[in-house]
Amino acid sequence: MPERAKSNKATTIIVAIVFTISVSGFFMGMRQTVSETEQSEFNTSPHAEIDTQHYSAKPAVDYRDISQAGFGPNADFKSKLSSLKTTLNEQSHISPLLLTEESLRAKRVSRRAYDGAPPIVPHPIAQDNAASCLQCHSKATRIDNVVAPEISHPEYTSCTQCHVSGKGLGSRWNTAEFDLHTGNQFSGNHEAAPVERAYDNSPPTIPHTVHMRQNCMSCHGELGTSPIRTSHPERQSCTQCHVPSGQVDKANFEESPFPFVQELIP
Amino acid sequence: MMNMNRRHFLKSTALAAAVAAAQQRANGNYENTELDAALASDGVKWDKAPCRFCGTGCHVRVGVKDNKVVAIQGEQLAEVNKGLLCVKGYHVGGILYGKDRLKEPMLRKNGKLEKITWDEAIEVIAKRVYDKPSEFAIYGSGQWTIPEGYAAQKFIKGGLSNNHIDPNARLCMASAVTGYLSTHGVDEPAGCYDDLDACDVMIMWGNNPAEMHPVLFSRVIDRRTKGEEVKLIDIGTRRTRTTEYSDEYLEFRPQSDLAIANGIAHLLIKNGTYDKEFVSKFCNFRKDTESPSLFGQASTFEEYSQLLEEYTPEHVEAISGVPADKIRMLGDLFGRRDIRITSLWCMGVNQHTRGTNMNRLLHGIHMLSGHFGKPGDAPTSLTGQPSACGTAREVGTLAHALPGGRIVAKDDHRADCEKLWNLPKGRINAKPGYHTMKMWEQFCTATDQGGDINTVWVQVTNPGHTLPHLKKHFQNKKNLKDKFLIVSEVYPTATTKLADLVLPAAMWVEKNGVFGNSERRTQQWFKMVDAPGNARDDCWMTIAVAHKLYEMGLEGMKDKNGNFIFNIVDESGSTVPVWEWKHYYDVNTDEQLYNEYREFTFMKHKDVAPYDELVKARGLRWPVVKKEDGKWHETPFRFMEFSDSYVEKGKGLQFYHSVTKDDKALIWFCPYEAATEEPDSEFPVWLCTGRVLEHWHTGSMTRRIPQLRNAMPHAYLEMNPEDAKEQGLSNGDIAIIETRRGKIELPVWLDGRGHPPRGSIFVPFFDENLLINELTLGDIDPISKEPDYKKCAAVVYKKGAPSPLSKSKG
Repeated sequence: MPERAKSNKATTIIVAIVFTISVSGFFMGMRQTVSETEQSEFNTSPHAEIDTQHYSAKPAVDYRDISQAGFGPNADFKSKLSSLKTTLNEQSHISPLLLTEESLRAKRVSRRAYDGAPPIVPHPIAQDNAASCLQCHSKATRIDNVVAPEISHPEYTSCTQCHVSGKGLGSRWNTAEFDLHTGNQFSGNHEAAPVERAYDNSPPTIPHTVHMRQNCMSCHGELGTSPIRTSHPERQSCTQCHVPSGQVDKANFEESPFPFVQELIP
Repeated sequence: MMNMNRRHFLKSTALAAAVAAAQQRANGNYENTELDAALASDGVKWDKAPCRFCGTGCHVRVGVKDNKVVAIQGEQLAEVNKGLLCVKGYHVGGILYGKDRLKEPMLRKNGKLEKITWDEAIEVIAKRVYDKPSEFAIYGSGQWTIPEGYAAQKFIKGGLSNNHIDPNARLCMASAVTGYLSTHGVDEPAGCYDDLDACDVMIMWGNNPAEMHPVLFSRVIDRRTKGEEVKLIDIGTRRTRTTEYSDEYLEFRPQSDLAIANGIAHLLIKNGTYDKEFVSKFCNFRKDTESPSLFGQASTFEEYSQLLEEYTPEHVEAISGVPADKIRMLGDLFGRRDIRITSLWCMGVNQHTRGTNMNRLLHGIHMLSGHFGKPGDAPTSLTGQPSACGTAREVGTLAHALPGGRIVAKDDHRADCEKLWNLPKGRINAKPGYHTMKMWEQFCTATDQGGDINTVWVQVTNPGHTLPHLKKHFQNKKNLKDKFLIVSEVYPTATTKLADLVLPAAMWVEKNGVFGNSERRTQQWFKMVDAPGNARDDCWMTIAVAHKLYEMGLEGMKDKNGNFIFNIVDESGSTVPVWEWKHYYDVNTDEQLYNEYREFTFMKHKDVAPYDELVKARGLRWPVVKKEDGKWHETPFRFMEFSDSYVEKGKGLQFYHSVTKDDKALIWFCPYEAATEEPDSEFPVWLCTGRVLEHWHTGSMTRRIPQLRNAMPHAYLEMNPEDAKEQGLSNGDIAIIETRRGKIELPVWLDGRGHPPRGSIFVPFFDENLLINELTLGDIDPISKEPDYKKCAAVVYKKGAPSPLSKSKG
């Protein structure tokens, strides 16, 4: 008995410490949000793309001229890994983590025909294989201001089956000379189903299907693309508390009667 | 008391449901799970439909709000795709909403298409038919729904008695049909997609499923992520996305696939590793007659072995360029009994001047090695259109065929149809109509020079884009003033460009429909949204024209008793005037036509499911048979006793429509023969055409979807960088491709989607601005009459550079 009491006591202390850290962390986090949001105006226009830099980049050298191109280190070149700026835990001047909800939503919408459609890839891709996709997307990756969200369905490996590039074929003759506007009047549904709670402060249900979205963190994690981020990233088992909404499920299966319950009802 | 009754009722139904569900699981059968029609809280109503695009037959769940499609999901209840789609499928809703949707009937007056009323349009068509019924043809499609194709079939063969009806499927799977017929005696695959879950080795013959059948491809490669081992062998003429996932890539010289298959058969016999028991129990041998024919002539195992004698690995290497060791590797794989091998093929094998033969050889090596008749051991041809199997093959909308595997040449088959259609004896013509290539040739030939097709009605397809050698088969129509082209379409296309009458059509979930996919699966959906403007169902158009002709007194539109041949009735049995558009949806016309058609399917044991069962299921694979338990059971594996209830007990495997009437299949010997046009000094490279992931066939639908169009904006020329260097071409330069039939300009794309070997180029055909089919060859397989789009001789040079052709001539 005393031993159990001791361990109970230890648990209480640990819980208290964790609690204090998380509460203070939460408020610190909130403070950061306010200060940094102001600095990220750059990306708040609804159609801003994170990789705007691509447009100002110098054109690539033709493959046949590469040997004569005379490549060398440029001004930003760092020869040591240690001298590279790590941005994950630093305050960077543009942080996609801290964009306003509206801009994230606008970006989400611009990359999807409707809510639930596979997002369009916002950068040129390797056209002949999907292996290169996973170089960045197998784990969430952030390089300066560009975030590669983590694959939410790692068992599917033929990425380009569903995700195509919104940047065309990625070669120089495809964008300017052709009219890419199709005038399609399809208007996709972007309204999320309402979140349900059994009572105030109960964990909300998941308002979308979880098919192909097994890894909640790829959208709702720190480096995710959803405007809704987890407030408790230390918790790993999301579906322990959050279950798919009955509203969504209803479309999937008919309610089946309980076969034996009737016998117990007088 | 009431409560007791209710309780009792609930209890018994619940128990029955539980028992039924358990039984269904035990038998591996479908679950009749109905989608709850309730509106979700966000106002989106979901219903099921097969995808509009390819022959895979994925089911999608369509989200509808305010009479518009607003979202798509992969249908998780569908066995075919299990919730997964490809990028086309996820964007399929967008096909309905292109801004240039055709909404009004239009007639060409003084060279310009002008708006007319539907009444006028129907009258114009009826008059064309009435004046020259024997010179009227319908060119249909593997995208026709089953009821649409069935109505057109009845109209032409049972009404006009000229048999001039053929589908675009002639261009895509006719050789697969003749392959199955001449092997099993009856069309369509024995296996199904379940083979993909069970195979140890998957061989893809001139096939790029990573782009063309992505959902099926994923079904195989996803097994690897789950820890299973599957060996993928890509036998192709260029490196593709499929190659990237494959364990082996065997690159062959175009046309030499015939030699590779023979090389495998040679090794099986030489090494004694062929399945002696399987061959003696289930196989007879065949070889071709002097002039190629569907059933050839009898042969023997000894003669077969002797004919294969020359196909040693070294000889095959000399023909194909595939190293002899790789041929041995294939021979060893087929010789093993402990693994299961599935072969997949599509257009590479079918669009081939020896397409029938190549199909026969693939069936042959599977039979010879006994890699047949078990899940995972299957030779399976994939189709490219959503209902190529359902409408073209099963309804028999081909020039020589009748519904349910019947043909016009057989007296008893015609008599059958006349009886089922209640037509006077002799109404159906015994002479086959013109097949696609002939139909268009005759249409594009002046009447005084023997061009005896006067009017063609094109439904649900785009021949002005897809026919090979377009000038000869389509564009020549332009100068023939007396010829008349009617086109039912949803968007302006290369075909409507020459149309004299354009009919705006409803598409996909704007109408009821039934499709049949590559694995014998029949799938049904309901109309979910209204078509825009005055667009109407193709099936209605056919019935409306037929009724107009009936009113005009055309004898063919009457049955034996003088009644109209399309009799659609209400619940009380009285006729509903569905030829009037306002009454078309008073009843489910689709259901009635489908159930009428269903009667035809029993003779060849292709029993399709009753309509009501299809409503509940996500497609059912025929034969669908009602068993002692009172339930309908589908047949995943045909001819196999464990699955197919038409196989006699104890037989194990039975080819019950065997050509030789002894329940045996045929193993064919077919030699390697050169292509009809091979590269020479003047035209030194092979030109291959094909598809890309983002666009479906002619792109008339997918090119109107921004996400897909941005990803793949236009056609390109894919060539080997070494060849490009020789011509001074670099990425993005404009090249000129020339064949004996024409020339076009295309931007060069090096190291892009695919990697062709030296001496060959590839151009996708989806782009209506860059019509590669002006260059392709019109040569056809002598048996299937399917043209070869994969091989012809071309020359490539940089735009602005002098043509090498003028040099060689000068």
